[in-house]
Amino acid sequence: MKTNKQNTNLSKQRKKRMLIQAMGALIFNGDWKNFINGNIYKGNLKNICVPVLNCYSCPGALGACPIGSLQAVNNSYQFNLAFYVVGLIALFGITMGRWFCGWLCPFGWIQELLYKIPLKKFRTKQTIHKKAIWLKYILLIVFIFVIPIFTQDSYGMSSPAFCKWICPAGTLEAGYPLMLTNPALRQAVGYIFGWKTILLVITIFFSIKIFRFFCKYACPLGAIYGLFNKISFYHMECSSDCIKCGRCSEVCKMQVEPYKTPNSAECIRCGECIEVCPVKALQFSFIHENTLSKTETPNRSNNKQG
Amino acid sequence: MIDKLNINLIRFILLALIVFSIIYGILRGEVQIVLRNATNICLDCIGIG
Ligand code: SF4
Ligand code: SF4
Ligand code: SF4
Repeated sequence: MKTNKQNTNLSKQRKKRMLIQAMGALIFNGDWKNFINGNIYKGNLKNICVPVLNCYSCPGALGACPIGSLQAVNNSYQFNLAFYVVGLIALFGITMGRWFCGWLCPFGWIQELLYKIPLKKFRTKQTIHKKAIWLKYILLIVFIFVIPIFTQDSYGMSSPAFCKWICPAGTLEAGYPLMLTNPALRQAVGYIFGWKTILLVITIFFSIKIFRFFCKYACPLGAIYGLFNKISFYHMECSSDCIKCGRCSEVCKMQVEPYKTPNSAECIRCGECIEVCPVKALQFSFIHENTLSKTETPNRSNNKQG
Repeated sequence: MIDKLNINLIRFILLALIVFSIIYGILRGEVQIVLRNATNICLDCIGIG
């Protein structure tokens, strides 16, 4: 049983995070007038990638989407690898890891809002979940690196396959707002839009049932940030005070077992486990301990991937 | 063994490589491609590409 104080802290933490997520969505998409006039922001802020999956063709988007930009440069005729974009993604990853997923990403926030719809919820069986989380790495490799290599034209250019065939964030944040407000684009709709709408509906349906369905199983940016969770400056530590009660694992909707793997690639740094730990064994830190072994679990025999 | 390595040292070495990568990308003109793609409606993103 959780104590009242832990419940209050947890609910405060959830409200604080919701507020910051809402602010993130509004700021990253701050050119609001474009939602009415059916165009997109074209200013110089778009030189820079935002640290989250936010479509750069969303009418209000003020920055560039890192996954779209990565494909744009990789698939251009001038370059094969985007050092600038890879560098920026890695910079975000090495500093904060998946904290951006938990606190700033508009598409992550939208999924959390969908999860609030009061329909029966579903927690993927842990054995299936541990296999399914690899899907996002497969999508990253296949759609962002492999398909463009095999579909290059004679100039060495190719389409951004993830944006074109998969990304539900693009369909929701850019496709529908622009279709609704821009008659010329509406005329051009074809079967790809239909396919992407089906994927969006599937994403929405499963996001209502499963917490952050797309983040867990399909997002290439979450996949990259997840790899950085192990080494990012911002990380979680579990001290030897842990009594292995498992409350942190129970509360974690990303299905991590933080007392075993505090720096799991699946952790979005929401901080809820920290609020419910009865002995305050978990904490976030920037630079603290000096070796990997100390930043992982106090009992290394329990150290399985969460 | 990675356990024995100093993780803070790894972080700072990676950070230096990352900064180098960003500067190299900027110098060879990748930012213009990012800007060009981000400031034109991406037909692939919206599903009519
Ligand atoms: S996993 Fe992707 S969609 Fe989810 S919060 Fe992270 S960047 Fe956003
Ligand atoms: S970290 Fe805290 S909540 Fe988790 S098992 Fe240890 S004592 Fe329990
Ligand atoms: S491990 Fe803790 S901080 Fe990470 S996602 Fe789970 S509850 Fe949130």
